[in-house]
Amino acid sequence: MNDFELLRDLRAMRQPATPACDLWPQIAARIAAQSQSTQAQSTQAQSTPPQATLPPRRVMWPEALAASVMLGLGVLLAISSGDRAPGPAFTAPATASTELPWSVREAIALDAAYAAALEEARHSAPPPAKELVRAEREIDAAQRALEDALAQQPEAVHLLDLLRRTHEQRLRLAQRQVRVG
Amino acid sequence: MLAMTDHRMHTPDIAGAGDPDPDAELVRRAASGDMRAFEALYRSHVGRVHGAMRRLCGGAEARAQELTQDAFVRAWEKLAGFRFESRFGTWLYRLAINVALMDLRSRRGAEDQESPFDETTSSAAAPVARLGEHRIDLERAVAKLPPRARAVLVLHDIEGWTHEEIGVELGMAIGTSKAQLHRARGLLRRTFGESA
Repeated sequence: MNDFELLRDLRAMRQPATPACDLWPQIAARIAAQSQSTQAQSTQAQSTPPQATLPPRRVMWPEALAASVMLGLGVLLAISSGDRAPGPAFTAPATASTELPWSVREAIALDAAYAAALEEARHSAPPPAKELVRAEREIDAAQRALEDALAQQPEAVHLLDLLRRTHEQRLRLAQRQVRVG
Repeated sequence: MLAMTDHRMHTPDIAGAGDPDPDAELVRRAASGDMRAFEALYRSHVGRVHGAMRRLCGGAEARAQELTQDAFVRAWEKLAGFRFESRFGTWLYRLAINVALMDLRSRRGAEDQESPFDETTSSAAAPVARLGEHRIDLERAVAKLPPRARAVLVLHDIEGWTHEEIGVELGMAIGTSKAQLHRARGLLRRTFGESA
């Protein structure tokens, strides 16, 4: 192989390469996790004016959101301490209910149904143990994020399943408080 | 000595000046937070990005996958600042290369000392006998180069960067970049049983 051939062959190496596995789920999960972290930081910084331009608020992609929610639910019981936060209420877009997409109306119905069950559990429960308070907040944050995403992407109906599971997790947590009490 | 010329393969904007960026609409949507649009951009460009990552990593697939992920996450973070002054593909590719080079810089020293390339014995390697195996052998030979020499060779001879650009991105003098390229080419020639 002479010099010309070596250079030619090196240039020929500039070819695309497909990763051995699909990297998108991990990328999307990382982006979703960053979005949640950014939102949390923004919430904490509300009392002080921003020092620099914040990155634009991102709409969470449903599957990325699912990954981060599952991660959050997996560790929620291991988190400790914090103040009790009220459960979120789904704020529907400012549109007449009959004009809302089916998925959003379904989300509102879910919210109402679980709110009643949750209120009943809370009524019977003592003040939550400290180790469960932060878990409540994590679930509430995931629920809000899912509802935001659904409001902006009502065609992503599979978010409803995630939302339902989040409600169930929240209710189980409240019921656990009753048992602990 | 090889008579190399800069082929600027990484600047397709020049050749494509005046043509609309086919990714423009997806980029605008992604910049406003549309993850589906960003996924479409990922699907469209992952091959090019991952190919570059693999070459810079010497074919280490797992590490290349990490860097490819890093590159797209970084692109998402910086997308709001994309000004359409170049094509998105060019911007993304350059960003990805920088991610890989930052990783290389962070590992500086350790890998060069642990290079798997045996400079004392590679000259005795048998010349490539069959053309069908040549491409794979060349990829393996490039992968075995010391990391910084490999980076310079990949950027200059494969990706088409200039020594000035390499020097800036790798934090080395232009002369050092040229010396690393000379070293890398020499090692390859010896691997393939040729003398300059």
